[in-house]
Amino acid sequence: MRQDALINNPELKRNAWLEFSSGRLIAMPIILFAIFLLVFLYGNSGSDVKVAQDLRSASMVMFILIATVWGSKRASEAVIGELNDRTWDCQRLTLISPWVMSIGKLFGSTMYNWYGGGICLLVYIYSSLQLPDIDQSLKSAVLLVLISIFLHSFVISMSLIGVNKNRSSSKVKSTFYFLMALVIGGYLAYYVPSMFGLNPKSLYWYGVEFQVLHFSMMSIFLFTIWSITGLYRNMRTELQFRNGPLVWYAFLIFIIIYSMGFVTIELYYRAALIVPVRFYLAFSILLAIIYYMVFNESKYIVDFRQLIDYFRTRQFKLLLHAAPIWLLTLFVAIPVAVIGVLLYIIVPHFSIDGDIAITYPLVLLGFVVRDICFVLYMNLGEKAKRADITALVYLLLFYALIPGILNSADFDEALILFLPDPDGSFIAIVPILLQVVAIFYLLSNRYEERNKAIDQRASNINKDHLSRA
Amino acid sequence: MIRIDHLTFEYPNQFALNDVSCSFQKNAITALVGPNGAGKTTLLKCLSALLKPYSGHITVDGIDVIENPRDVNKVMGFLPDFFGLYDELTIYQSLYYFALAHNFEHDLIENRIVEVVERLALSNKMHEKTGTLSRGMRQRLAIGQAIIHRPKVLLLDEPASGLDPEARHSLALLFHELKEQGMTLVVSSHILAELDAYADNLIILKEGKVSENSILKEVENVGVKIEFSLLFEVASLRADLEKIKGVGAIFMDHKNVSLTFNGDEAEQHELLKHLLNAKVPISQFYIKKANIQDQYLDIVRKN
Repeated sequence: MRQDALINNPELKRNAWLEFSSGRLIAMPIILFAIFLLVFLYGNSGSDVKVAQDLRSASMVMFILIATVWGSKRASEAVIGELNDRTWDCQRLTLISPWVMSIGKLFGSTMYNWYGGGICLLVYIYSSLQLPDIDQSLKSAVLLVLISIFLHSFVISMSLIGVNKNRSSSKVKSTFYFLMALVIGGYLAYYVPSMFGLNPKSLYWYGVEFQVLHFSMMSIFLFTIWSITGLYRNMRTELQFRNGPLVWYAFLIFIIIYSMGFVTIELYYRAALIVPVRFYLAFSILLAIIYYMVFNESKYIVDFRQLIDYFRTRQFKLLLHAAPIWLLTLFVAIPVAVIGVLLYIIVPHFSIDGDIAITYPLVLLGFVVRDICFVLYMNLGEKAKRADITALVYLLLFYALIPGILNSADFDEALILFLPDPDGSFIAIVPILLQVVAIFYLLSNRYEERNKAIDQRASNINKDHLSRA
Repeated sequence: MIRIDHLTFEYPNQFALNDVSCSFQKNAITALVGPNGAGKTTLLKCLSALLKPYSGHITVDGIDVIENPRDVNKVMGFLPDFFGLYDELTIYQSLYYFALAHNFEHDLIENRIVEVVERLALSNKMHEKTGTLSRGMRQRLAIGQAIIHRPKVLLLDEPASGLDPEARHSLALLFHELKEQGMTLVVSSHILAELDAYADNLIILKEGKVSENSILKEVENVGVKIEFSLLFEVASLRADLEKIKGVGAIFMDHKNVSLTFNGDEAEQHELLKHLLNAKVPISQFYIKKANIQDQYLDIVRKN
């Protein structure tokens, strides 16, 4: 018997057993009925339209609370809860495919929330039918459902990266991933009605006018597909499958093209600004992804030993499969920085009225490489504990406190060491280049020391073993 | 059945497995022993594809575990040392879930569950929640989950830990039964005396290396272990014993003597007669069956 993603999905079946006890099955509709009855009775003194509006609003709020917020909480625990309860390895030992497992976790962990959310949706649709703007209401409902699925899949996907990073920990916390969902969900909830542009009814994307609601639906739909793809690929990694880099690169291309579309003449009014703003937007997205992933992916010395072994033995396919996402993204950011320099030469006004120097993309890249080397340096320490947090504190020092002190002391000339200066001269690249060389030297020294110590330890054990034999 | 070649696994600060090569005999119970941190759990997790090794090759029933990690789950069951159960599910539901998760034929699941619960003596608890089960029953259920798909190989990490003597005994009987049905078992345990009840082979891991890989039956063929106690110490005894044909390794501890002897019953009788004629003040004389504990201690002593 083949497992299907929805029918005969063992994870869905198991969650149905766990979630749908008779008590819980009855409790949800009773509580919701009580809430909606209360709203109905309070609004009953007004017109039918008023009652319908109140019910529609109440059902939407309840849907957000039950399906979106509580569902995200449950989704954040979908894998981490299994890991902490020591059942995750038993699941990994089965034949459940990554796709079936992804769907099972996505809709299994949130099954009860969808049950409650479904009841809210029914009330929402019923009350919307009594109102004139039914079309708009239904579209909003679809949007909310998509946002919920997007958040759930995103949170599980991120938690899988966290599980991979913290596998040796006895307990992994899910709170961070839930908070992440709250922040993103809050952003989407706030901006969905008037997400882009000054006009809340429409926005321009690559010069084409769209209704905000339609564009939001299309955007969330595409992001949900990418989020589920990410969940599937992280699940593959967790289940010991190898992932190639192509899908990740396809996502980077998508996110860059998507984001650049918002930089339009309608928004900036000057055609000369379009190319540089689009370029720096795309470049910033790449750099932001690198920063996020370098802190979130595992950085054990054994990972780098493996990568370097693959490189030395010319196993490039395995190297690409094993390379962390931040490294794959850096591989893209480097040529993009060079393209930025070329655009400066080719495209008129790329300097934005002389505000941005030709070397600026390389300076930005330099700062990122310096910071990556620093984070890795901290992580490769012999007794590296909370290395990421320590690195983050130091980076805060480099980027905020020290520049603040220098600025207060009227010593602005030294700021070039700590902050990328957009309108700096050509030689602005020299200080960051020197920093990169210095930190890279320290990093490679630390790596070699650790590497030698590990090899020495292995060699001693081997010698000891041979002498006993 | 299982073949491991030059397997290396690294944790961030240590080699858990260092160039390990060994093989596990088909349809036998292999005891995997070693001190804490020797790499037993890591080895079992690499075998079951829960961990990806740094380098090396593992083949289980012809499946390359590194290349096709998920395929090994078709032929292997694994009971981890610290396992969890779904406390809110019944035994029936738990087993149903794992049968479904192993692509078990839908129509056959019911029968298979009945078969497994009967074998594990859990029939009368089939519809009770797992959270209410005793530790021994939980252990049996976890084994049931691991064997629901009729694996050819079963790995068990410290299966007897925390069980009472009766539960341990029934576990030993179960392992025998599974072996009789053609299964290959690898059991990691600290309780060496326990392993004597069922183990055919022994693999000792130390500091991530295989210190010993032997078939216990062969140890018996090498000779018997004879132990005797003296009324008082005899200075020249070791030299005298070394001259006797068939006497192997000798360990002397004041008035207690232990030696390996390669000879049949008549020759053992001759040995005893020889010692008595030589006025060796023997107070006790007995043949000790070679067991895992002795073998393990011998190796540790040698090292």
